[in-house]
Parts: sequence; C-alpha cells; structure tokens
Amino acid sequence: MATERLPSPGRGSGEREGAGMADERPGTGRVDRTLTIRASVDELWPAISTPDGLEAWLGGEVEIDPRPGRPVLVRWPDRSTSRGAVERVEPDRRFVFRWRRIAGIGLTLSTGEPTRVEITLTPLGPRRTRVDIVESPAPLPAPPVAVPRPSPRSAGRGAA
Amino acid sequence: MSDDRVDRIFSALSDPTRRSVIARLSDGGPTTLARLAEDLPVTRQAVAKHLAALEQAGLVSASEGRNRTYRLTPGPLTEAMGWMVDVGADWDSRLESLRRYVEG
Repeated sequence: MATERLPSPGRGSGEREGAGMADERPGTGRVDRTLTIRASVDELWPAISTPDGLEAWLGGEVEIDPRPGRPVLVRWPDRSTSRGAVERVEPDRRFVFRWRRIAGIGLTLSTGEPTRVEITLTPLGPRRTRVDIVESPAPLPAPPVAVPRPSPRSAGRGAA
Repeated sequence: MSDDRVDRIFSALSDPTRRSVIARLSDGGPTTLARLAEDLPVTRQAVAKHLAALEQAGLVSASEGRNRTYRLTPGPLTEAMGWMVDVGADWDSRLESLRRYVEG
C-alpha cells in the first residue's frame, strides 16, 4: 500500500472521510507514550499535577497553578521556556495543559509548535498504574474545563 | 520548525484523499490536475481543493502557466517526522525520570 510509506499521522486519523478542511482532527500528528509504573494512583496524581511533582521528573523548573485556565511555565536548562495554560483537571485521572516553547530573545526569538499535553492515569492494581501521555499540535489558548471529583451520590443510575 | 507548521502539515495529511494524492505524486511523479482526477475516485473539483490544501502546507508545488503540473515537495514531511521523533524522545526520557521518582 503506497500510503504506508508516509509518516503516520497518528492512530485514529484517516477514519473520517470528507473533503472539508475540518478543524477537529482527533489523533492527528500525535505523539503518544504509555508506561506502567509500580505505584498507586494516589502516589502518581501529585507527581503529574503539582509544581513540585512535575519538577521532579519533567526536566525543568515548573511554575504551575493546577487549575483550569491558570498559567503553566517551565524553565528548561537551556534557558528556553515553555508557556501555556492548564486546560483540564480530573483529580486522580487526567491532567491536560497546552504549552509552546520559546527560545532566545529579540531577533533570535523562536517559538515552537503549540501543543496540547494530556496525561492520563489508569489504575491496574493496588500498586500498578498505567500512565498515558499524548502530545499533539494544538492552538493556544485553550478553553478551560473543570471536572469535579465524582461524588458517590451523583454517580447514580437513571441518567440519560 | 516554528509556529503551527507541524499542525498544518499533519492536518493536511489527516485526510485520506490528500494522502492518496501524495502517494500518487510520490509514485508517478509530477502530473496535472486532470490526470489526478482520473486516477482518484473523487471529482476534479475535490482534487483541486485537496491540492490547494497540500500546497498551503508546503507539501505540493505547482508549475506556473496554463497547464499546471503538480509535484511533491517532501521537505515538510521530514520536518513533521523530526518533530514527532524529538517530542517522543523527550517523553521517553521524562517518563523514565517519572518512574525513578515515583518508584525509587
């Protein structure tokens, strides 16, 4: 198949036909990574959603207020920065932000591709959690979305 | 690589007909709109629209003149691949750090 020689535009694409220049392109050009970690969701959630937790492994100094719409700032060791905003916070489940890397100043200023980063935790066992990371091109800024912790009462049946 | 170049490239590639156009130009070399429309199961008008999108993403260029021929300019494909490789490598090393941090 001739099209297989092209770089994969990511899974999920190509399923939608249509000649339009659609703006919603799920799965387009995404980078995704999955890792199973021997830790509980309780241990991992702070690591992916707090400044101290993120700073321990992301590779830069992290300033982040983990609430939808609040700014994200990462200072990398090469003096470039990534700036963006928190998009979505689902406690113990999913942390989503958008960012874009900025390097240099004045005439040497260069800005990277704006992207959306989605980190998802899936419990596999008492001390086993799957971590999925998806980074994909996406414009800045993003509309904020807050999802409250599910309350036992509202999780009832009969809806829809 | 800057701005939303990568996004434009991938969004151009996200459509199956546009991927067929690229495959056709890659296999058969430069050709005209009329020939492309013969080879693909869509209308000439649709092919023209897809070619315009591919041109905008820098993946295809057209000759000047009356009977324009279209050819593949694969540079952006390499750029887009490079972006995926770089971003993927960053996450590989970050995730190993996350594992060490949480498990260690």
